[in-house]
Amino acid sequence: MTAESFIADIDTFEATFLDFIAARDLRVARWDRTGEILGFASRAPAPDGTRSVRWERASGFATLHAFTIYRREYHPDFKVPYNVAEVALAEGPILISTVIVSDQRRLRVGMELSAVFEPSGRLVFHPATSSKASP
Amino acid sequence: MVASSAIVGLGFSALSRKPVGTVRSLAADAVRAAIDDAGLALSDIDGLLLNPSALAADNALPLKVHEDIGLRDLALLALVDAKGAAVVHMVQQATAAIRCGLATNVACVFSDTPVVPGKGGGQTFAITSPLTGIAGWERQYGLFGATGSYALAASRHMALHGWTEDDLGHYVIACRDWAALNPNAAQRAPLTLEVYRASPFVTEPFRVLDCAYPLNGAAAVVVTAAERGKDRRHKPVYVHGMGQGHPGRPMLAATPEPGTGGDLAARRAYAMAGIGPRDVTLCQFYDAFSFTALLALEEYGFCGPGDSAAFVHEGHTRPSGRLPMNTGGGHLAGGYLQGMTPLAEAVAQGRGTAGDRQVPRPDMIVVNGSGGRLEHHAALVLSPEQTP
Repeated sequence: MTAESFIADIDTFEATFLDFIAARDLRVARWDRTGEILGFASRAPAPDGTRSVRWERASGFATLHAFTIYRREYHPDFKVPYNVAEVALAEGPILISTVIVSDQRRLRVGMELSAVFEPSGRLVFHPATSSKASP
Repeated sequence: MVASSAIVGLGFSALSRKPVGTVRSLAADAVRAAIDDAGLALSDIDGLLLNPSALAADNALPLKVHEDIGLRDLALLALVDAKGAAVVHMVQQATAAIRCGLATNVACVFSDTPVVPGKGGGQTFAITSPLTGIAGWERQYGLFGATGSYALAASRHMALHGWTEDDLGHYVIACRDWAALNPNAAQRAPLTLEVYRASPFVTEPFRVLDCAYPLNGAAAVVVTAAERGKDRRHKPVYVHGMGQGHPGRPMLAATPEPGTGGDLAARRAYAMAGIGPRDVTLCQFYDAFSFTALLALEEYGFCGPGDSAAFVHEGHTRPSGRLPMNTGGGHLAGGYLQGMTPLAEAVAQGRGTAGDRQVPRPDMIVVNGSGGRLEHHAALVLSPEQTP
């Protein structure tokens, strides 16, 4: 099953997304009526006022939209250097995540990425090495 | 357009990197100073607008501060929250209140104490940035502080337009050139590109020197009806144009590039003032980071997309440049009072009291504020002439 229908109101949209993530399943939401893909930060109804969406499994393909490399430590859980990335999924929406690289200098805006769930369940991205992503 | 309101008072509390008082007491000091600067009595003030930092503790700047100041029988009293755009919002709301007869003389104050012993301003601002709005999402990746979220925006813009780190550096140096002429600037030592490059990174592409320099303190202005401005102690600075921009499109939506609302605010402010970018002789832009001032040059129509770096590098915004910008040193070198720094400098320039940094033609001044992660934007067009 690659799509499930939900009513995306403000209170349930993010909970639904997080439920899928907890099941290690990266999904994107598409308005039933218009077919438009929603951004993860979206909270407004579809242009026609409806709120029915289908949650479709994402391909896992993405590109690096933007990134920053933290050089100053703000929290002991995050040892520098590390990067925070805006990752544009092939389907369109942009997520905050990180790109796992051994050398931060490899990062380039526009580089191709693929989604991976870490053993902890955290969604991260790797530089794409194959034509088949498997989030 | 004939202006209907004017800024007639400007006042500061003590400003320092050391503890100098509470948010509440500093606000009271600044308001009293602004009222005195306007040549008004406390009893002349019938409106008070308050802007605490978005990161201040709850109730750090309570409505009851008007009692501390000694203001009685107010006709207008409110907190204003618009993140980094709030100072400009206060002047806009004061003007609207005066126009509709709700109030006559309105004091507007920003106050904050971000620098505490053992904790720099950077730490104070290092809360998780909730860009997605999904609870806890950014925390798991360590997206702390506005430095991180704005660095992401800068990274995208720089990559799209082929900028290098030095392109940010040229702006930082221009700010120091202005700060060297401002005896009240927090950081006045001249900079070279070599010194800039040696500044440590915080969140690439931002170095320490790309970030605003936080101060403890407060600043206030008094806004009154234009026709009352002429009788005041100092030359009034008239409000000719006002605009806001709140795009309402999530920054992480499935759209190619985020809009910031800056172009919306600029267009509306220009239209109200009956001018265009070519009429502007001076800019005071909100620069929490070097990048945001560069972006504003593009949003406000002084450069094409991506061209602001070259515009600044060519020296147009420096002393003797054709479009002086952030002439007190801006937030980076003048000191970070979250929008009051550019507004206060606009008032000083409009009055003609900016000393060595005074520009020859402060005829048409644009001031902006932006907040959130470039989500909320507001603009003013000011002039020392009621009918330019």
